[in-house]
Amino acid sequence: MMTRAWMLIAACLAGSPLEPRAAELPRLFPDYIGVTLPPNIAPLNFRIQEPAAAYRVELRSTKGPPIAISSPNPAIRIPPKAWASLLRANPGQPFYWDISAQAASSGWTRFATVTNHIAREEIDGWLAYRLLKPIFNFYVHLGIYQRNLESFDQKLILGNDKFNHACLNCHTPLDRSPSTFAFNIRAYKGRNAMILAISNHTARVERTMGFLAWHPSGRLLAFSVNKFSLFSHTRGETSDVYDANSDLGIYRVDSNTVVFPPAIAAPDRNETWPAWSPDGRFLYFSSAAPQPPEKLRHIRYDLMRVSFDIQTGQWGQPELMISAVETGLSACQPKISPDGRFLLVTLCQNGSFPIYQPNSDLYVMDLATRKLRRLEINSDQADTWHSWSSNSRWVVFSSKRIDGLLARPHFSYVDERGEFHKPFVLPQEDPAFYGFCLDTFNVPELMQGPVTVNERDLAGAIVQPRKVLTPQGPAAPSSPGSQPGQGQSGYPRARE
Amino acid sequence: MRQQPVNRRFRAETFFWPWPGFPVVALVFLVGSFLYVWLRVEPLLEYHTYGPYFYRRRVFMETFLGPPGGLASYAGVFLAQLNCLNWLGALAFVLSECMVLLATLFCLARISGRAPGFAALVPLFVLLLLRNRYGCPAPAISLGLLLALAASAAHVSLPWRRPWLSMAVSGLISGFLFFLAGLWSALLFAVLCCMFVLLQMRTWPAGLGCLVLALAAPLGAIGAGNLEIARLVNPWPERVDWVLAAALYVAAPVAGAVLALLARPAATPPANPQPVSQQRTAPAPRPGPWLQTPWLGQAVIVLAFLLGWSAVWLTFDRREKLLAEIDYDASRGQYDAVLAAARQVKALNHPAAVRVHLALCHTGRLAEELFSFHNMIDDAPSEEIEEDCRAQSQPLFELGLVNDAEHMAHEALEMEGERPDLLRLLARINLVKNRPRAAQVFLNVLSLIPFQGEFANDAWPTMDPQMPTAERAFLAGMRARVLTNDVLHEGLPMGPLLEVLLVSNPTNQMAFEYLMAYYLMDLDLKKAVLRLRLLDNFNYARIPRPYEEALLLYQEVAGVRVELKGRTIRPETAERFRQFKEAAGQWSGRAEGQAAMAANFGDTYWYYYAARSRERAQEGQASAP
Repeated sequence: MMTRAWMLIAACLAGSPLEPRAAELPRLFPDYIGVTLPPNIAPLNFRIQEPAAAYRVELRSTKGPPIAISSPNPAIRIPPKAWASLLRANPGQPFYWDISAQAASSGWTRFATVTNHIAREEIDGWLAYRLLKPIFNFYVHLGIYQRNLESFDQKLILGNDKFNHACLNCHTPLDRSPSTFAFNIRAYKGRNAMILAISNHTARVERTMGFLAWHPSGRLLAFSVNKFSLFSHTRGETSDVYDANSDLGIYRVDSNTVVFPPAIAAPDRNETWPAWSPDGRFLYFSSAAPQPPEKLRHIRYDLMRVSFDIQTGQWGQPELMISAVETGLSACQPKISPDGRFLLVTLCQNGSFPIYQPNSDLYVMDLATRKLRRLEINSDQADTWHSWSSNSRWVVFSSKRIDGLLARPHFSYVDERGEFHKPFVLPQEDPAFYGFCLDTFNVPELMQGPVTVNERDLAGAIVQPRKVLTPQGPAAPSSPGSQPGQGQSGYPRARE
Repeated sequence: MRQQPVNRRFRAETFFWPWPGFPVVALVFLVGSFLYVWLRVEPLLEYHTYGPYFYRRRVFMETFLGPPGGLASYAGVFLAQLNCLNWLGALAFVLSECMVLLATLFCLARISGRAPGFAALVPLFVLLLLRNRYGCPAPAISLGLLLALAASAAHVSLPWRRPWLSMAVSGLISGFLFFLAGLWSALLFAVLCCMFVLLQMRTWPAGLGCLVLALAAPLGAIGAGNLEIARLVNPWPERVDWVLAAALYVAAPVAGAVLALLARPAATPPANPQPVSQQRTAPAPRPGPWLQTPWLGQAVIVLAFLLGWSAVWLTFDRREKLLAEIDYDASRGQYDAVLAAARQVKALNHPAAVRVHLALCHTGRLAEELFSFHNMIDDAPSEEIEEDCRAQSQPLFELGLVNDAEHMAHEALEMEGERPDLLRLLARINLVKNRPRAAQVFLNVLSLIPFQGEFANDAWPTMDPQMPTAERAFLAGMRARVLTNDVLHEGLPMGPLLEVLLVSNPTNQMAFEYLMAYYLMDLDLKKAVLRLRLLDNFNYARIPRPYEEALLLYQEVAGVRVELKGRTIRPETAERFRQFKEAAGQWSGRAEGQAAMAANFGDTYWYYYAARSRERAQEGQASAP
């Protein structure tokens, strides 16, 4: 086990002795070199991957006393208070890390200074995500967690051990609000349902829903109805998902009704991945022609949008935003920045489940110019499941770039020019954390505060709900045999 | 002072009355327990199959801090790691038995006012019965029991003057025990204290008060809404016999009550001797020799002892042990041992069958002896899905179906937890798939488990984790065997996947033998016979016997003659087929024929084919409208 680093905080450095300098940057894990940090992030504890007998680290910026740390082992844990003071004193300033290592046989070697940057804009203080194993058909342990980004506190929002180890997924807050959100449960006593929490009051909605998207008014939810099957490859990435039939529907929270407007539930198309524009005037979604499973590699989704008037309930005509034919790729998971400027989307080789494809990349479209470009921050592994911060300055996404198997949340700063800066992984108190964590971080969603509904109430909404809503409305057009609230085939199975 | 040694010796003889018989019997019992657990139970096998595994990480400990009894469970999991060696696990168990015995003796003596004698051995027998069952968290259960008994012993040993004070302190300790070791420990402690106050201090309100106060903490926890009552009452995993575990905790109080209510025999010395004055030199009363106990009492004790041991011996599930042995030996690559254990099992389960096939393949006998075991296989659908996934992951990996191996291993990881064998396999899989950093994560987690011998590379993460040369060679061989085509599939269609494997690598002998086994077991004679043309790709001196049998059967059933291209069927196989046909005709439709056919032809493919065909016909009739 790693021993705690011995840390020394110096009020000022009274001139360090001259040390030989290496021309190279040090190797750090996680890679926190050349990144832009929010001023309210928890300390970026790291490991120095240079073999040595002792280490020294000095963190400094323009204002405030630097933080000096000496450690006999490569795990560097930065004192949180000093870190927070230094960051808050230097928004928009460069952030220098001087790292030295002393080999057993020689003196100190000082590496090239690591230059990071402290952004002016803060990031939303909380992050919700689901933790689960990366490749599975059966599931036993699932949980939705929330993490305070300004510290290392992680709390369980809801674990599936509270309701027979059924599945829970697709947690979706309204506009990053912790008091209004929804998520789905699957295969709880043979039934699927959605759990609604509105102003911390919970209800169980007896309807099978897939991906969710809150209209910014909070009055309705767009949802998908999918028919997923899990497939396996014999080469490359192991798992894949085939969606045989999907449509989009609208659940009106106020009237407890469900409709499937033809504009988003065409009988000859599969629609999925709904996302509202911040003003609620457009619904973005992925759309593809249905194909049999043996043609999974050829299924590519266009990105569409359709106008919607919440006052009149009128839908416009779907409009093509990103063509699968032109790009040769499949567009999924559209997310619009809160300021309405950018559309962030994942493009992958085929299908509608990009997390299982190493070639999945983030693309951004400037909605004013409709220019689409691939982000430079992509890796050679899956980069997907993205979410914007409320100030449109930060993006969090799940990336398998560290080891190719396990997805970790990464943050990237988006400056005023629309440039995405080098991402950094969610910091952990133990710098070695990601080396021992076999869970994958799924669907990271930034929130402006912590979820305060306690786990017992959320579990109660599933097991013994005080309020049950059975929406009125038709079944999805693509699934004429399905009944509200009943299980659909093809979903992962719970281990009883 | 001069009388203390006398009292101490006297007290020792009193607690171990009848002296010296009882200490001898207790010692014999403990030695017998040690040998029994070491040689018959073999904790190592249980540890491999059922764990539990201990991880030297704070997050692991934190999972135990919430529920009552979590700390005792945590300590129990730690102690369970000693089961990685048979003798060490046996020793740990016997030491816990010894401490339970001493605490029980002391408690019962103080509570009942008489030497407990052989009654104190009852909890030990129950502990052994629990130990018999693989997967029972015996260390945690005995720790919970020991804590309760030790706390009781300490409590009743104090010179209480006021019963109400004893009651109040008892209530506090009960609450503490509830959070430390769970409801049963707390209640056991409370009951023993209650009995002490009732019987020795003769104050029944205070005695009942001990029980009432003991319920405060559990009721409070239930009221806070954090616990389910069912979980509180039965905190043990599924494999624990709830009644037996309850009996363990009930044994001491019942024994104490019985001892207290029984009439004191003349030879029984007092449990609490009065101090002898310095002026007097009267000899301390000595317990009578146990040989003078009435013969009926002796006979009862001996009979009870024998019955207890008989119950322990007879309730041990040998089949479960053999299946665990198959699991363990397969994980170690000791395939001859796998086969030796499999021959002793009347009905293998599906995971064991998978391991037997792998063992036959590794010992070069899969083609020849495929059906020498098959008659023992229970064809019922596998109920051990998690173990099934784990069992299948290894042969899938060795076949070259790395992705499917990865899938199965991850399913097992989700259902069975982060087991050492799965972590090792997943590390290997990720290395073959050129994901060394992912491999390192699995090895890092493995390094958290005591005694696993794997340590994370200090320079983690690195692109080239250190590994032994033999391992490097093995992985290089695996990469050469990995399927290069991408075949999209749902579930695990073994036949088509093995076909693709062979097309991709015609020299993959393991794939060939598994494919033949697949077709033969699926009664697909035509496909099996067609694949015999691939025999020339491998170094078979002759056609393996089951393949000959399938060929003969196919020719008989299809009415065709198959060209063998230079190979011939052995005359003895042909002769035996003639005998089989003759016997089948003779015994057809007769119930006693089944046994005769099994005895004479049970190791042949013909017998398997006939039996499975009958089953399928019956299933078809059963499912027909």
